[in-house]
Amino acid sequence: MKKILKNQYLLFLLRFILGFVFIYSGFIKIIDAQGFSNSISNYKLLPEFIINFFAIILPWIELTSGLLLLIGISVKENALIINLLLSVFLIAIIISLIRGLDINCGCFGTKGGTKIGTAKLIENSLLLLMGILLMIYDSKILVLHSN
Amino acid sequence: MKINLLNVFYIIIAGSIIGLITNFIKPDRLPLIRETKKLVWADSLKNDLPENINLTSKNDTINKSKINITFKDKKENTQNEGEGVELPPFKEPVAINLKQAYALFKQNITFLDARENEDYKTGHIKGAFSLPYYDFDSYKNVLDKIPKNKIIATYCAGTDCDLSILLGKQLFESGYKRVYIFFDGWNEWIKAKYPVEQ
Repeated sequence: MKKILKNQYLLFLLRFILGFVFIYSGFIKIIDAQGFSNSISNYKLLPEFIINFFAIILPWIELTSGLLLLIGISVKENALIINLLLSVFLIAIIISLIRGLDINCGCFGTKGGTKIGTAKLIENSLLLLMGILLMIYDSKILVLHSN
Repeated sequence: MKINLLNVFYIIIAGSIIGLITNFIKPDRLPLIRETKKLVWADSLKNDLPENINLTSKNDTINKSKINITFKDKKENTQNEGEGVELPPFKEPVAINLKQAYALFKQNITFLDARENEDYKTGHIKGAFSLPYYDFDSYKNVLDKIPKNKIIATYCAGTDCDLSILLGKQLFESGYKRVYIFFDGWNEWIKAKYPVEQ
């Protein structure tokens, strides 16, 4: 099992998927920053005055980490950032589901967005699993720089 | 698993700084502090509203060709037969409660459902059109049937969602100047057992 997980092609595939997902989700949120700000507000977890600050910086952190992960600069560090973000999203979704909020996820922008629910939980957990594997095992192919 | 935490810190800071700078440059930049949404409630604007908006039981007979709506200021009454009701344009969308929404419903005001189309299909206010805020472009042709001078009311699930507010604002900006936001929404409507359809 460990051998499979250590497979360089698999690790590269994970970097590719996770990198693209984060570049895409960051990009969509940058284009529609107001929509993302509304989405964060819908979760009712953060005080209103701080929401825009996160709506401004989070998409760029997503985009930067996704890009660096994809091209292979500090893979483990970027995987950690992505995992932190995914954990926060996961917790936010779980809390909202427990509170019975009927809201749009805002994960990939607001246009045609999907609602929070079990599918979103599974999607986020899978991405988190990919991120954890990238943190544990060294991805060595097509890597520009590693520590 | 050796991770350079300093690099993690640098990447987060770099991302944040790029975000703040690009936001500052962008023409449609977000203000650093979010403007809190303040809804204007119908109760605070009584003079602009039809007198009988708060009635819920007296006006049970609806004459479809001539809607019985009266104004406190009779000069402003520009009622058109069959065309619906004319109201002076609002300065912004006006929020209404369940009672007021039902009064409008009885006067054949057009309701727009801002929730997803799937939710609309499971059940909606009788006669309402589906116009999901998050899929506005695919459904905006319903607006072809609604003249800009008509009174419309938007709603979503309930007080926890703000789709009705967002849709109301969008419609107001696109030229509908008599927009009500039925803030209590669908959940309260079914609780009150008001007319619905699937």
